[in-house]
Amino acid sequence: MITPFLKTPFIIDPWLTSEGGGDGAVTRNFTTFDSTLTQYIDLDTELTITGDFHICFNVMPEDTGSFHQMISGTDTTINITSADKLIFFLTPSANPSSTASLIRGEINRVVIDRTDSDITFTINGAAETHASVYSGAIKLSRIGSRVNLGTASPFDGVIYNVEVSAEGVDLVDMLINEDGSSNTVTNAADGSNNGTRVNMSTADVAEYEFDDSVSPNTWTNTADGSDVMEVAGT
Amino acid sequence: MTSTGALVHIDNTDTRLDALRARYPQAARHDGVHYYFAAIPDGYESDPRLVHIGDIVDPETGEQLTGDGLAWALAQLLADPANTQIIIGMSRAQGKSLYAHPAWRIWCANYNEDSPATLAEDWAYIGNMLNTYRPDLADQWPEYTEEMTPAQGREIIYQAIVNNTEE
Repeated sequence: MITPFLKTPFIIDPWLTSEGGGDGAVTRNFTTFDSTLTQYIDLDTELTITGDFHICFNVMPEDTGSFHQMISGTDTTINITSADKLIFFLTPSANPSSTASLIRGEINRVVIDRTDSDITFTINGAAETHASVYSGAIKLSRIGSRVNLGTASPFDGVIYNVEVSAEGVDLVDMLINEDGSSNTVTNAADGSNNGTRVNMSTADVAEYEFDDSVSPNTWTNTADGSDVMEVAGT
Repeated sequence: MTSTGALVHIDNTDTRLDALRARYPQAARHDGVHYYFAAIPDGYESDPRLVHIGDIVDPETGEQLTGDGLAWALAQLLADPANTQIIIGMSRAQGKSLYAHPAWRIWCANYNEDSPATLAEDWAYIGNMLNTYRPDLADQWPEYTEEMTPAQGREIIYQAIVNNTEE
C-alpha cells in the first residue's frame, strides 16, 4: 500500500500514526548505511520503469560532504553531490541536478516525479521542474550504492520509506525498518520482489523514537539517546 | 567500544572464517588484500589473533591510540607479512576513522574525481605527520610529483612502513 504522505508535501511521517498506534511512543528501526563496508540493499529483480513515474524516499546523508549514490539501477543513479544537490542520472547523458540542496545531517524528504519527459524534484516540500529531460525507460534495483554507472561511491547515512510507482502501479514500498536479524527487506508494494541487505548486520540497525512535539521533529536513538536526527522542514 | 566489524587478510586460512565469508560474499576489499566484514567471526573470543582496535595502546603511556598514532600502529600490523592470520576488530566508527585517514587512502591507491582528497593532499598530510611524530623519518619521505601514480604512492608508503616497523 502506498502510504498517505505520498500525495502531500513532506511535513512528518504520517504513516507513523498508524504504525505506532494510539498515544504510545512511536518507534522504529533505522539502518545506517556505511560506505566503508560497501553496504546496500538489492531488489530481487531489477525494475524497468517506463512512462510516468513517482519515486520518493527519506534520506539523512551524513555530514561528509562527498558525492554519494543513494539509489541506482543499470545506467541509472540518484545521487547527492559534494555540493549537496540532488542529481539524477536517468541515463549517462540525461542528468538533471536540483537547484535546492539536501541538508546533510538531517532527514530530508525527496520526491521525484516524471510526467512525459519532464522531471520534478520536490525536496523537503519545495518543487522544481526540469523540462524535456528524458522519456525512455530507466532501471532501478539498488539502494545505498551504484550498479554500474560512474565511480563507486556508496552512501553514508540513513535511507528509509523508499517508494516507487510507475503509471499508477506500485512497485516498491520499503520502510526498511527491519531489525537486521535477517537479510530480507520487505517490499510491501506487492508482497514480492523483496530486498536483500548486503554486507550488513544487526550492528547497522538501531531503534529510534519520534518526537513531533518539538520543532524540528526528531528521531532519537532509544538505546542511549546519544544520536538525534532532525527532520528537515518541520 | 565494542568491535562490530573485522578486517581479514585474503590469505587468512582459518576455517572459522568460512561462515563469515559465506554470509558476506561481496565484502568490501578496498586495498585488494583485506576484506572488511560487517561482523566479527565466531570462535575468536579468547584468541589473541583477534586484535581489537580499542585495545591498541601507546606502549609508553598506556593510553588508547587514536588518529595518526592509531593509523601508524595499524599500518605496521597490516604491512607485516607474518600477520596474514590476524583479524582486526573495530567498531563502525573506528572503521570509518581508519578509512578516512590519508595513509589508508594512499595504501588503497583508489583515487578518483569523487575522492575526498587528492593524492597530492594526502601525500602532504603524511609528510606533516612524519614531521610531527617521526621527525627522524621525515627526510626519507619523498616529495610528491605530478608524475606520481597512486600505485607508486602505495608502494612507497608500504616500503616506508615495512622498513620502519620495530621488531
